[in-house]
Amino acid sequence: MDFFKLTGSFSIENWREIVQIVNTLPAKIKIDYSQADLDSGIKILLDKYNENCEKFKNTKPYSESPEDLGLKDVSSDREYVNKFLVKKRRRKILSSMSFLKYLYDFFYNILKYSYEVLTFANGVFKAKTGHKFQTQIMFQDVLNSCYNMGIQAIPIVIFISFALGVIISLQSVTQLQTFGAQFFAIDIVVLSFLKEMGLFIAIIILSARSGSSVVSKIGIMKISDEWDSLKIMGINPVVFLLIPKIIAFTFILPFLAYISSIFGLFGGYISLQGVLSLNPKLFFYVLENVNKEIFFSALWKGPLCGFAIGMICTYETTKIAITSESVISGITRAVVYSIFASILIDTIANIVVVYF
Amino acid sequence: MDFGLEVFEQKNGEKILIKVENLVSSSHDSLNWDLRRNEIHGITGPSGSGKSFFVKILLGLLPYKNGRILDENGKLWDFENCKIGMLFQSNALLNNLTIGENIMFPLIVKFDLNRSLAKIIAKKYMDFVNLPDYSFDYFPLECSGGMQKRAALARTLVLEPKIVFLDEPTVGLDCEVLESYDILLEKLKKTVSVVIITHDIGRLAKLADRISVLMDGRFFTGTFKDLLKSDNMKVRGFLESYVRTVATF
Repeated sequence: MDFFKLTGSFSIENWREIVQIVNTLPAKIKIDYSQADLDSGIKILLDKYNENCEKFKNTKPYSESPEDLGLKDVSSDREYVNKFLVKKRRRKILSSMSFLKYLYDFFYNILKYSYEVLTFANGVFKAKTGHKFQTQIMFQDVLNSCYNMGIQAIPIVIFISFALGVIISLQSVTQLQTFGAQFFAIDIVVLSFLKEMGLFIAIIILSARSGSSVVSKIGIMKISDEWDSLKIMGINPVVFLLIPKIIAFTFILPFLAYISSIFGLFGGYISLQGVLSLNPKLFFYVLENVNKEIFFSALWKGPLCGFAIGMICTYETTKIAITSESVISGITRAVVYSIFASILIDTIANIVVVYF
Repeated sequence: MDFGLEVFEQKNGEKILIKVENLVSSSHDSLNWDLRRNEIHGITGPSGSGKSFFVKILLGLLPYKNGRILDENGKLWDFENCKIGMLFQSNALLNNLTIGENIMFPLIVKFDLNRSLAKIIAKKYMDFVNLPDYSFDYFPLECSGGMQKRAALARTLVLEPKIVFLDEPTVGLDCEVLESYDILLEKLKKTVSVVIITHDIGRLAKLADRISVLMDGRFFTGTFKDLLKSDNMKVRGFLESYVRTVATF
């Protein structure tokens, strides 16, 4: 076999030059680098090249995947180029297929996850609460959780609702002024907050703030073996730690939704007062004439969404293993899935109300 | 099969509390192990050999594939009603409760005990593990590592277990505290069986009645001296490495 004698000094930084040299060589010619000053990285590449030359000396000049080596220019090899183009075309078709597969996986995973959460919910409902005193402790824990997850979240709810109230009213006034219908901005603010925005803000804040805090707290309890120690002491951690949180989530969401609605309306009222010099009586007239069903919608939609958030967040805690990485991924999944699920429930509830 | 009439009795009259027969799990091949009444039993072995895994199987926290675990009456092991206590390496104290509340907690939650009665019992166990009275109102994070370990032990003992598992109980403790800890374990031995899972072979050689070395998915059990004469090269090498370390002093 012929050899090409390589001389000079090369390091891995000069890999492009080496590739250029190799590309000029005809096939089946090995490289003899005994007189060259090379670093180990280049030596590894050239050894691989020589090995491939030997391996394919009678059949093919190149390896099955020359691009892996980065040493061969295959543009002159028609056979390889054709093969590569076919592969590329196949990949294109496959990529369009993979989108369908992605969609299939997406919906399949949603259904699978829903099934898992419902199975978990079934287990939670069946869990034995033990004697009277455990129930008392659970009640105290529900109150504590309500305080930690709900009352402490009120300042954020107030700020965000107030700001959104101002934004919605200002934007709708500027749009409606062109038709001379600026006073309908009051209806927009009142109806949007009482119908959806209040609940929506409460869902986002409860999932993101309180849901993540529950997952992280119980995740850390699992890492520090507190979960297992409760089990060994004969205390069911699902009853003792998770059920109070689920109850608290269910009750606190409508409460937060009404707080959000009140301060959203307040923000809207303040900004409309500033822009339109509004007569307060007009605002309150619109508010008084709101349909009662709209006013109480958060009262039945809220617990449903709160229960979904509570279930998903507590279910995620059960999936946490004893690594900090699993806590982080658990928090991410809990927040994303709980927002997704509660908004889905809200949407379905709206469709049911409108059409049935 | 009926194990009801079968009672495991050693030749020297020591009663067996747990007997593990041919236990197979994802990291054990075929484990045979037993624990006698009122003994200090050490479990050691190289890192990753599955010591904590084995203990978690006994506690019912992890599943096993095959084999059987029998209790003192020869009946199958009842994971839910077994009287077992476990002291975790991380102590696992609830950080939002004080030391006293932590010790009272299982009594109150499990037995529905009156708070004042629970306090009396908690104080008794605090005395037993040499915890000072003032630490009753301290939170775990305000206490030293040694005090936390003692508090965790008191919480474990408060439910009056028959067997206490101690996972790496001496990690992070200074020599003086260790000495008092050894005295405490000797005291504990009179009432319960203690299983220590540790890498501290020196402490096991000093305290343990028997030592089980978990090597290649199997247990090699005996006293420290017996194990030093073991036929298995790996077990002998593992224990001799400790002897060599001590010999250098």
